[in-house]
Amino acid sequence: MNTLPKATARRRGGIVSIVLFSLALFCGGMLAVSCGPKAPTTLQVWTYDSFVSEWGPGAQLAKLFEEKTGIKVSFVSKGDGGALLAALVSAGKEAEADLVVGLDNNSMAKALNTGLFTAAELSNKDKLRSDLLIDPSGKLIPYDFGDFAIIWDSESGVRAPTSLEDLTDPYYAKRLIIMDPRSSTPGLGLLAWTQAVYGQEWQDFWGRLKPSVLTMTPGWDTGYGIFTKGEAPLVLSYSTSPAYHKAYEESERYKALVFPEGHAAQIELVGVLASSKRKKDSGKFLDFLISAEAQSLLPETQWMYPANVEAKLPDSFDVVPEGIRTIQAEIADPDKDPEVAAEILTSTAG
Amino acid sequence: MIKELQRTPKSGLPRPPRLAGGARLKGPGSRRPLAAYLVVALTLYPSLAFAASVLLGGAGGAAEAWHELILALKAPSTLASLRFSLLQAAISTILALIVGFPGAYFVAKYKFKARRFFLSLAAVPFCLPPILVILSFILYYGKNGWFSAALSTIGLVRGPGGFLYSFGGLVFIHAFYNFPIVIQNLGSVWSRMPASREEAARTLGAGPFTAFLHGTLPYLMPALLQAASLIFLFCFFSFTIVLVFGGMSGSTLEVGIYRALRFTQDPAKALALALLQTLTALGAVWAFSHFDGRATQSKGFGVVPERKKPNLTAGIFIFLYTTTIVIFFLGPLASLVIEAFTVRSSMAGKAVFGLDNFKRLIVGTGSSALGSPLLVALTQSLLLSGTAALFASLLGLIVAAGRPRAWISALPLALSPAIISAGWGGAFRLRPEIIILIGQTAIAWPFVARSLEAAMHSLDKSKNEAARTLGASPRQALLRVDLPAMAPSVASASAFSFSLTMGDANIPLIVGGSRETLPLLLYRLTSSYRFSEACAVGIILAAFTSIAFFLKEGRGEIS
Repeated sequence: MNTLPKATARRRGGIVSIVLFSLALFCGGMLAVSCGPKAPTTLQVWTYDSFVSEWGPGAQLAKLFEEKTGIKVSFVSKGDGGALLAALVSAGKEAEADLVVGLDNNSMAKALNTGLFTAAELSNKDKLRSDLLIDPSGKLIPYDFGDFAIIWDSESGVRAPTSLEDLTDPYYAKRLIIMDPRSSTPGLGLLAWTQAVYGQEWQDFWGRLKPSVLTMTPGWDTGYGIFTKGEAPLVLSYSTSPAYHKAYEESERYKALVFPEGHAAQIELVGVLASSKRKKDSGKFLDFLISAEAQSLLPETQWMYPANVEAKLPDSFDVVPEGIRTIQAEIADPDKDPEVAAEILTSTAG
Repeated sequence: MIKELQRTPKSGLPRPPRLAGGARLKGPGSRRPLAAYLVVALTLYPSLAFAASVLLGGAGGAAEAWHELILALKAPSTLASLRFSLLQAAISTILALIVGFPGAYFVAKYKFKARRFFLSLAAVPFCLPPILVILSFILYYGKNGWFSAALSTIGLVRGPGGFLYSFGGLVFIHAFYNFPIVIQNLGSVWSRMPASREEAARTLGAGPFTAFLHGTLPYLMPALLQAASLIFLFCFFSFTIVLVFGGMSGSTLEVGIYRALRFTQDPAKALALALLQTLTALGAVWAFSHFDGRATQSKGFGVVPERKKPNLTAGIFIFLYTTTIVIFFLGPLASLVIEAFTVRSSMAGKAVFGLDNFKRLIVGTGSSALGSPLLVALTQSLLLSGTAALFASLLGLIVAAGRPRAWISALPLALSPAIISAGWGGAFRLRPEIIILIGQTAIAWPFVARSLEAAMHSLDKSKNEAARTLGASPRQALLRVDLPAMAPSVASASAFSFSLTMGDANIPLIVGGSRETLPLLLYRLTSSYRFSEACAVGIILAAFTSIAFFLKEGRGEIS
């Protein structure tokens, strides 16, 4: 009846805090102890999170590289894609890495501006698709790429659009999911794509596209997730996306559409840091990463095309349409244009 | 001795004077804020260091940083997103209060079967990452969702399907995502309310409504405002949900901050937007605390009424309320569970029931040396979040006991999550695991402190005063009178902080490191097309966080 604390409860107050505190100390200690010391003899490669995940290529690449050269390599996740460049910028010359894997054409300028990379010697550079060699200084080397494309749900009952321009047809009202150009790589890709196709008139295109857009998601995963749940028949993604559904779901329901205007691409880049004390080994790793053997591991882990023309493609990539024309696409003003594009979509007028 | 003293009814002990401006009483409330300020300062240190590095010596020097700052503040898009952030957060908060209020009342006053279930719902908003919240709402309310299907079977026309992706959809989702906070926080205070408060009013001839208005409402005000300010902050900083569902109607400041930090590497702009965001959030917190301070402090006396079995009318209302919650809130969650057990692997995309998603997670691909991805992530999560939650509870208790000014303890809550993560990410040259641990402790304790502050507000101060009169030192009175009375609130706050740290993926995603936690696993799954497996991880995550709540509810009832 009485709301006042009972004697036991009173004692418990003191005991509880002691127990809590010692538990906290214990767990903290466990955590500290269980972090093994870093072996200084291994090659350190900074990369983004999904490269080292269970489904990424990291573990297999490391194993293969060690078998071939006897050199141990350790992939260190610096968080997601955005965090990788931020970590590099903030660490500067003191970055404890020999190489960085996972920059791309969007972040290339910022990455080169840091002056942290050194030109790499490659023995098999001629095996790389020449249109991917976008860094004239030869410091950042392409290792895979993916064309941005609209993926169409063939079971939606909606007919497939035939071109970028066709997407603005009123028939496609609220039928397209795209990603925010302010916060995602595919979003930036669409912006670059439309700028390459429409030049100065790209803003008009975004204005015309607006009624077709059901929603704009902050990242690729949310947008693609909504798409696979049937919310819209069209989504912005990569031309290689159908390969995943083929490989893991035996499904050819989702199709990448080839547009006559050509497609913009994301090109992923690797570079050796000038501060690396193991430049020779770093060079070996670079050679390895773009070798046909290592490159063959990328399609079904990265879901991207290998940069090496001799790399073997898995069967699942048969569903990726051929004849996609990759166009050189760069965002005119990377600081302002994404904001402008997003504002066109979110403005209440129109 | 103290046991004796507790029997002493509250009598004519002189009431200590109010503190000017603070509207708080001495006694248990005497300010000993030094330790609290220290904790706040340490928590803010990384973000402050980040700000200082931008302002004092960014890439282009201080002058350019200031220029950037002013430029960003003057941009028309900044004002537009501020306005939109405020508007959607305010409406979402009001809706969440409306949805949660009846639940808080039922939980406080009645014994019924679904009671514990309602209380454990509070874990949900904190442990489900936004992408799963979005998927769950899509699976349920979406074009091919269960709700839409049910509507069309009973003859109601299927909606245009566009409702979710509008301002209405956004605030609807925010409300149904956050209302359990109201049940949890308001319910626990309400159940401690002495009967005298309404009885006195009723005795004086007031009707039930007037009695509620003058007796009950002032008592509940601190908890109500506390829950409101929490929900407001969540919605104000909401990022993914706002963009996905309200995406075409506006954008929040957080988007701009995220972009400046992670995409354009423009810390000066991020700082400018974050300053504006924090000042606004603090303004909101200050306003809440201000009204909170004006709510009367007299706590009444006498017996707290036992929870009773509902009579017929109450029973019907409870049933209707429970049904509403099940339909609108549990429905989406249930579809997430079903999705987790759904395997899509045939040519026609036929879906079958099965455990494959879980199996694949437990077995793994065999490519990593670590073994089972699920078990590894689960162990790491429990260890890391358990530790962080313990630290967070301790710090939260220390801060709440010190009773700093409301806006100071709310300071960490008013920071942009992106800025906090960035601050911790670059703050120390420690092992990533340690930074994650410290960082997660730092994001969780302010929530603990804030809910304990609300609990302390409603403490019966006369007991502490009585103990002091009988010669107990302030410390003794705190440890032996106030703390035990607050034990349920502390337990509840600890469970809460466990949910928070368990669900956090932001800090690991910025700090990096090799440790795989459940939210990180979930992120990795969704970024490699594996949405059904991600739902499976989400279910496990949700199960573990609600276990914390169930355990707590099982041990000590809130009262």
